[in-house]
Amino acid sequence: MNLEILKLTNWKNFASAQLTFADRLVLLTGFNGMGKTNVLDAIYYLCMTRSYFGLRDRHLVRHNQSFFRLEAQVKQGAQTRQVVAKVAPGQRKEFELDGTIVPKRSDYIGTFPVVIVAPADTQLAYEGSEVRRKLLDAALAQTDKQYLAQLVQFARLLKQRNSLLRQLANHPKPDLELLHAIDYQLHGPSKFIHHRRKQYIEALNPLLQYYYKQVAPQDEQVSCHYKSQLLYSDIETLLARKRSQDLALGYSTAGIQRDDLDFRIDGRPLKQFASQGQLKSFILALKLAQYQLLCTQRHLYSLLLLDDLFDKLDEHRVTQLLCLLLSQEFGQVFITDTDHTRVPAIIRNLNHTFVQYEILQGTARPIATSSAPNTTEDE
Amino acid sequence: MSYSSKLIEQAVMALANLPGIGPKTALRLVLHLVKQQPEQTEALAQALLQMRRQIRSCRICHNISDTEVCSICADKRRDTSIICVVEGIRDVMAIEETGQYRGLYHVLGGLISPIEGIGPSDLHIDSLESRVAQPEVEEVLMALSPTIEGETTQHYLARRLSSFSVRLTTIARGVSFGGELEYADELTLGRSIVGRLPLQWGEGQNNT
Repeated sequence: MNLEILKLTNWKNFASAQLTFADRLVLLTGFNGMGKTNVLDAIYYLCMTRSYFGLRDRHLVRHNQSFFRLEAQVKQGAQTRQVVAKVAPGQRKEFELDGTIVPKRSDYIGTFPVVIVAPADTQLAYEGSEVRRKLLDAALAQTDKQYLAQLVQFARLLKQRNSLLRQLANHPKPDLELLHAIDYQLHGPSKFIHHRRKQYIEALNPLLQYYYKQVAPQDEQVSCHYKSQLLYSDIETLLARKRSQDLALGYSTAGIQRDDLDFRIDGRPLKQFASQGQLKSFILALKLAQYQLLCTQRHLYSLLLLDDLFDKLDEHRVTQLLCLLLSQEFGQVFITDTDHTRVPAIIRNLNHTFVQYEILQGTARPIATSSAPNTTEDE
Repeated sequence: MSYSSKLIEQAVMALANLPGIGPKTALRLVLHLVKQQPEQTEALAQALLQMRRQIRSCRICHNISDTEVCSICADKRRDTSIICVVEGIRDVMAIEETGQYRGLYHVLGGLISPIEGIGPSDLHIDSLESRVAQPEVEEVLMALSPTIEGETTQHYLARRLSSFSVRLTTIARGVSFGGELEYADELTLGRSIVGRLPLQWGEGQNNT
């Protein structure tokens, strides 16, 4: 899968820009605050129908404008597909695929699979369990339509259950029949989601270890463990056992909404024992593993967006990473960097072609990348 | 919109409060009435007033009714051994329209949804229980929407009614009649496959 053309209108600090990516390696260079990340987020938005950085639509529109429009031409196998996002916050949000309006955005997500790696991702190790569940859910939703449907149903039921628990908490003699009825409905979605998450993490672990070896300078053992109450007892018993506690507290204490991921390095918790470098390598390896699983499951190369990945890395590590990214394991890769010449020089040394854009104050200028003799190296 | 007459404005505002009617349609209706004879408007107002003053809900099934007991509950020819539980009055009308059901109804008046603050005590469930306790009732057929709230209500009712010796059934769910498989949505088609039925040989189409 190759993103060939990207058009931005009123997107963040871009008034209007058209970028052509006639290569599988795309380099976006520019100083801080020029809009490199905005280009990556535009690609992410077109694939996932929302910003990776959790920004609301009205914060994505260029200052003093009322709408934004994103457009892309993507080559998928022999097919060339067009996707357009037209968003006027408060009025409409429309996705058009090959000229037809997408009726349900949840059905569209996953059409163009994507994985993004951003500097703030290291927070995954520190923040609450919610961000790690979101990582899991986003990954599974791109490959499994049923997962998303079950997740929506589960969320609705859990909300009903918590409302009921709050109402029953101040009741002298609560009617438990309704609680039983809701619990019964929770069984199916809970089991389904748990099973898929477990399967996913099992498949992810060998890839995580493999990519950690590739991206980290030292050789540590890394792993990611799925933590869930459902691993130790089934949902029926769990809900029954915690029922009186739930009634006393007024919310649900058992179930997959408490699932978490436990990141480990040499058997010890990552967030306490990893250095900054190890942490960064771990998260990158995790994302690359996620990328690889996505590609295998979808039988196509997904897009890989790497924001500021080479920041503070020495030339040797940058070369090492680029060698990996240029291998057959990866499809089209987008890289941002603050240095205009460093990465291009390394890529030329590796005898590979690439596309470079210089991003300056919301404009994109193509840079001639006449590289080493264009040999058969290029895919 | 500005109206030359306060009286017209009042009437338009009142009509525009009705579902499906905006200010423009309301104005059209009002101007139509103005053109007609005054008696016609009086008859309309009279019909509405009488309807609103005298309409009530059936003491037994809570369906809408002119009398204390609705025409369905009062009909001696109907099968009293089966009660069909529905969410609202419109569901009764829809099922009656099919002509396939000859039993009685019970209108709950909503679905259980703790988020909306609707609990079992807000629905006509106690009266359903006392009806089901009658010896002639053999079957309770639940015809509730296949939504999360519909299912919650159904499971709840099933638990409440489990102590009675009645058969609990639910309407079949799946691919719509006359619909084509390729156009059915995944969820519906999936449920139809999970809830598949044994194929019956030689019994014809009309075994209910």
